[in-house]
Amino acid sequence: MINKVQILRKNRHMTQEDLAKKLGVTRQTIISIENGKYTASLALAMKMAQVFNMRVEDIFQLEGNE
Amino acid sequence: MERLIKTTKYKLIIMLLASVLPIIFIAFFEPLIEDRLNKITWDMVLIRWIIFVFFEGAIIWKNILYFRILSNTEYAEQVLVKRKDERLIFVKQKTFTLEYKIILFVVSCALVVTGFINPYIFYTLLAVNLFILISAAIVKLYYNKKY
Repeated sequence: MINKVQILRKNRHMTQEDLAKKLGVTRQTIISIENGKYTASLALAMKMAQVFNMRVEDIFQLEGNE
Repeated sequence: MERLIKTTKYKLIIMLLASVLPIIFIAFFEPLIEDRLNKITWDMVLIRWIIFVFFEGAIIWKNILYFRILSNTEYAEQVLVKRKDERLIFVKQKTFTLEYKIILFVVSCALVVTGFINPYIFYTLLAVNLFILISAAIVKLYYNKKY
């Protein structure tokens, strides 16, 4: 699973702490999602889509053989 | 948030009561047990005191955290976020799963070793191992039905 969270966050001039507060998660979770170490749940992905005002599939995409 | 404050109050009361228990044990029950034991070596006394200090320390540490939650709303919010954080829940689940496997493996190894040494310890460990396996099967069945 690849995601554009880091790019979208930086485009909106948000810090990881800001995004974490808006989503109600820890900053470590945002770091792990951005690094691709952790895949967000459907609920969190939908919250992110709301924050970035985008569709979920525009933020998260499946990799080749997933 | 209200629920966290409410549960923390209950936990604080229980933990404050629990902090008195080891002191009561050391002060009143230990002399009674000592009379019945034939021989008390210094290492037994040391281990008992280490366990006492460890438990008291853990309880006091928990109580400090509960006091902080009740007095500081900012800290309480942080705790709430940490408790609901899905990554931390995922990490906890993974840890418990691996821990379960390790415990099962260690108890099984101990079972084989004690089988050659002492039958009482062997049967105790066998019962523990069977209990772990049966309870795991019941819990798995429950969650399979639930979800």
